[in-house]
Amino acid sequence: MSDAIVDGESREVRPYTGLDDIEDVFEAITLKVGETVTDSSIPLDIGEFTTSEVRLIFASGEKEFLNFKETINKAIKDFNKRTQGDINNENLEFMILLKSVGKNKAIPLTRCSLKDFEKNFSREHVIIERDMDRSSLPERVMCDPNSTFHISVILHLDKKVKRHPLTPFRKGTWLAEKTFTLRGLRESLNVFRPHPLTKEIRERLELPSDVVYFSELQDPLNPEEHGDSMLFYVDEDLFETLMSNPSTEGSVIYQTELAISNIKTLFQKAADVLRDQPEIYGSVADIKGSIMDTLLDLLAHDGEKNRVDKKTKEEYFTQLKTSPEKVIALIEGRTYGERSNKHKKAWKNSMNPGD
Amino acid sequence: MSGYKTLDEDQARKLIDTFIDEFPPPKIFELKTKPEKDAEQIIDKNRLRKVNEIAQSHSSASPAAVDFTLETLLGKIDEMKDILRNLAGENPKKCASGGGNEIDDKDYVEGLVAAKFHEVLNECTRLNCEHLEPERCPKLEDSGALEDQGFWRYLSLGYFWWFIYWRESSSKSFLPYIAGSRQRDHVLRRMYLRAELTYTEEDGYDLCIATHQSRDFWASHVLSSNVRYGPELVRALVRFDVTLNHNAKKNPCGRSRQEWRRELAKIMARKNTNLVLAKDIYTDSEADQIITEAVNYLEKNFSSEMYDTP
Repeated sequence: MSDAIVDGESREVRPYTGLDDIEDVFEAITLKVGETVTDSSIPLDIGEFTTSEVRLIFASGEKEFLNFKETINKAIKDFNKRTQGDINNENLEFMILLKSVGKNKAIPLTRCSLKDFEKNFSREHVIIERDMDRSSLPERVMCDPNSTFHISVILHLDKKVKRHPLTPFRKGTWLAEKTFTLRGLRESLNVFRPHPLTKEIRERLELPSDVVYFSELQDPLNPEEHGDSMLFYVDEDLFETLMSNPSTEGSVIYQTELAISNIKTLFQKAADVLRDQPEIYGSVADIKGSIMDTLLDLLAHDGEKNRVDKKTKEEYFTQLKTSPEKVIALIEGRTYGERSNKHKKAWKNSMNPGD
Repeated sequence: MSGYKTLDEDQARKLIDTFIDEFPPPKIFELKTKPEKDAEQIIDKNRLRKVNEIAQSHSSASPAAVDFTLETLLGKIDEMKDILRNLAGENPKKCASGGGNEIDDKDYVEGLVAAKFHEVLNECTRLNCEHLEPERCPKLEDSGALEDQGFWRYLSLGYFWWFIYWRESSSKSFLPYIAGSRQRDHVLRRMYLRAELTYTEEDGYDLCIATHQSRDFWASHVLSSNVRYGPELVRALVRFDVTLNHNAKKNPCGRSRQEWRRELAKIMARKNTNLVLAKDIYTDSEADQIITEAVNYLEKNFSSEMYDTP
């Protein structure tokens, strides 16, 4: 069967099964910046970022790290046995990848065969070198606290192997990956911070005076539009009252309603973009670092494991295309969270006729 | 210390209004004599003065950054205008008639100017470098300017108003092409990235200038997609794209160039789910192979659709 006739990636989710064990050990990798440990993302306004040590932690200790390596090897052997595949530690590459959305670059920092990784990586962690005097791009990317960047740990095929059904075969296909987002100061979550809807802004946006709030955004799926390009406006008068009385009961309820309205607009806009431009965003990998990526993380967060469940996240992403109303209802519930009952009670009280 | 100038969105909006209300439209083709060119240069400088009056200076303490000055860019602007002047169809009347001259394909012209723009901009950023080894010299990408929308606004209005005015002359508003929230629409940024992704030492800017009627191709299918992280794949995509003709009948399966581009982008978005996209992961021939597989798959689909048609 020739490669030209059948192309395995005709679906949007990953077609490979039986890689759960490798994915699980990768999923448990953490990143430590200075004294802060993260499982997924970290804002770069944490103290002295530029002088902090950046450390990837594969396992909690030496013994666990041996287990990390053994799990990968065993999973590959099992996978080959089941699929009659040819994947091994010489055609798999271990990579640490640095990606800067703003600079539009993805640069491998470390590349070695899995065999060499097993041999040469003896500690359960690796320090990512950040020599400030060196002029190579990775150092410069990692020394700029303004711009968001990602650090990924990836295990992928470095050579083309014989093709078998539901088996990775093409060079560059990843078997497991873990990505950390280091969110720059410029890309802070302005979108959830309300701004006053002034007369000037109303005129520019052509909004009549009875409009109370408005979300100005283009594409919440685009990682480059994460920063100040999305703005949430609240009527100027209302905004001032809200800012002067942020913690009264009415204010808290109203703030929640505003946040939910804003988030729903974001999700609806994302669903519209996915419907109108299906060729741009194939999977969650394409939206890494965007505002929707953050919101889907929130939705797919597994409280017990205290981490984002990747499969659930991918399912929500697919659902955003097929039935966005359901995902919107879910995020609404999640945003209310523990306050949901309180809100229900307040609404019920206001609906009941007075004594 | 690094430095470059920036404009915020409101400043950009006000400057556009000022340019339209207080200045004559920028000229490119009408300038035949030296006095005419000199007069236009004075107007250009007056516009730049307006921009500099309100622009902010951005500085950074990063040791890897550069002093960013654009003084030398002024001398290069006329060379870029010459690119437009030397194209067939420079007669504005012909352009207006849409007679199929080179100049009418503004997306193609964008590529020609992009090549020069990329070269000039990178030269400018090295001016104050004191390193002896060229590989240690800071580049534009090190200054932090590339990801700062304010920098592109400043450059667009300070030095490239003439090009954006010509490029987007039929638009209601110039703002989206300078400062809007959709970065893929920013003309100069798109030009820079188009050149950056396609430039190679062996072939120079050949692929940057090769595509036709390609605004959506660059804005949506490349720069909005993860494929942009794999320059080798982008170049392979361009190598296929240039084989497509504007006449659908001359293309495989008789499909239009737009249809090929759109469907190929969908296939690539699915492929990207499973592929590592970064620099130097694939050789040129491996990248070509990935695109060829996608093209073959699409040809098969297109063919079966043809047979299905009653």
